[in-house]
Amino acid sequence: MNQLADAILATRLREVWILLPAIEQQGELCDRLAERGWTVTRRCATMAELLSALHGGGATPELLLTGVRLPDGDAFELIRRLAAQRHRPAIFFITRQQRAVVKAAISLCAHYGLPVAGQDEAPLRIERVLHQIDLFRLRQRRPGGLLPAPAALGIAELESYVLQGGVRAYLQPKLRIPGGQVVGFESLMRAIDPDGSIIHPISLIEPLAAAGLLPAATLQMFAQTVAFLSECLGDGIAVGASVNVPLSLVSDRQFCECIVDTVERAGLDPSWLTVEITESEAMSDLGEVIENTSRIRMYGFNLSIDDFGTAYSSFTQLTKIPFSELKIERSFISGIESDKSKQAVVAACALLGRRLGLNVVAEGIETLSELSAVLDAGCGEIQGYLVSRPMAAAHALAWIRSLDDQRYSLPDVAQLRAWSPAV
Amino acid sequence: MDASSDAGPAPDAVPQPGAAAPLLALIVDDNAVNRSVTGHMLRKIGWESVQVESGAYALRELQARRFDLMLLDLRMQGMDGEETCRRVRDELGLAKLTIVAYTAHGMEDDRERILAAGFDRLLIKPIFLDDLRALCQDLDGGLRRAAPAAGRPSPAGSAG
Repeated sequence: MNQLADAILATRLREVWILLPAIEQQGELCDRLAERGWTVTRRCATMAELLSALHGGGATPELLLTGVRLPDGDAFELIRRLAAQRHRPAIFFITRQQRAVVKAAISLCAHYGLPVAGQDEAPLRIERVLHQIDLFRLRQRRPGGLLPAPAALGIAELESYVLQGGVRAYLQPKLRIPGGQVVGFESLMRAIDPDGSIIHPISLIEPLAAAGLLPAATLQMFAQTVAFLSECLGDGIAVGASVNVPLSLVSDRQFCECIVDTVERAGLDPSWLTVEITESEAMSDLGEVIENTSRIRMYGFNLSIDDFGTAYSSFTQLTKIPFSELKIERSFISGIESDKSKQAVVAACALLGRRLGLNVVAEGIETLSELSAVLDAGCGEIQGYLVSRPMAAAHALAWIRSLDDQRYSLPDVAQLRAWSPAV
Repeated sequence: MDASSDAGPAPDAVPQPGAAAPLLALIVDDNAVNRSVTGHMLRKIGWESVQVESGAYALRELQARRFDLMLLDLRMQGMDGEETCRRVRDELGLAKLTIVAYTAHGMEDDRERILAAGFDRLLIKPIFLDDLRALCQDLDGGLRRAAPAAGRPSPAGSAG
């Protein structure tokens, strides 16, 4: 009995539903999916049929193969209605629709948080579809579940992190391109668990904010960043550093006085430090934001807008808030080399930033082809795993000291061009 | 903090063998860390520097010896950068000395006024190695080329 239950459970986890007009080679598709542990448990002719089967409960397909134009609707409506479901399968689009339409469907999935397993042109080509499904499963298996859920951190634990110095600044280098000169570090918050494991900000920042501990934690970040900078500058290594500060803190006078005091006591010129605020925050009441960000600049710090391009950017905001740097949202960088829309967006951001006299930084660079594409788009600085993950302060210091001429060796421009996608 | 334990002196670049006598810069900044970092960077590029903390000391140094470049912080206590620059030009008569202002970001609108005060160039803080290298390479070429031929376009001539 137990074996049977396990078997059923296992099958349930790997169910595939299909909502496609009469597909050829259906038998072959089912067989090939079965080889990989997938079972096609339902074929639907219409969206209504599919939704009522899902409503019926019990059935929890992991994957749905669907077209975009459906007999009784379309993928867009389907996505919206799936988004309202408790159980949401990953979607694989097989369609003859134009690219722009498929991209829009994928964007809509992302908007609702529905996983997309892939997309391919109709008529069905089994190998290509299976390949993408395999890749999707690999992506799903990547660590990410490694982090404790936010709820796992109780207030007592959080307090102990903050009060006992468990909050650590991890530093990720920022480089000028194409020369590769290291010009700064972004300070990212990590917490060190008593057992030595590292807790990432995803599971840290919101609970800290909820517990009212974010000001204390941010001040610690600031102090550690200043200490790190002092070490570098004391060695004659000219680098700056940035700290992410929630807008609510930027508008807190006492907080500002604390950071000014920290910098003064270290004898640092505040222009080595940059305060980063995120774009969505920048959108709250403009008058208040101008007042508080201007104060940061008045004290001599630089001011960066993080994740530019994500939420509700307006040109008004960009021209009225005294930013000195613009960081382009990483989702525009990922895979930019093969996406003309992303190239256009990044090039436009870079041009806009440059014309406004801002430093333009592309974050999240992971590959040489992305590096090449952002160079072509006109970005002046980069950050990302291609160069380095965020490092503990001692490690970051050793890293920058080890560089020759404060330069990280990137392939030269000609080599990078070779990585460029054909235009 | 924990990062400080293994701090050691940074290796300074040695002036390149066979190079002519290093050029000399005067760094004027009331922030000690900035003075020292700029001095370090200049040494890496093969320049020598003298560092002073105020406009008044700068005037004194300029009277005492000849410099190839003055890097001047605009925002200083007491005599500020613009006034220092004016006095170097007017009182000391150093019309040809290259004077570079460095200042916080966001002064682009003031660029005209700053240049009108007698500065040759404007650098935005913070200043990195490549910025200084680009500046020095420009100057270096000009100064060294000019030297053997018709003699330097003598900034020091009028200073006595």
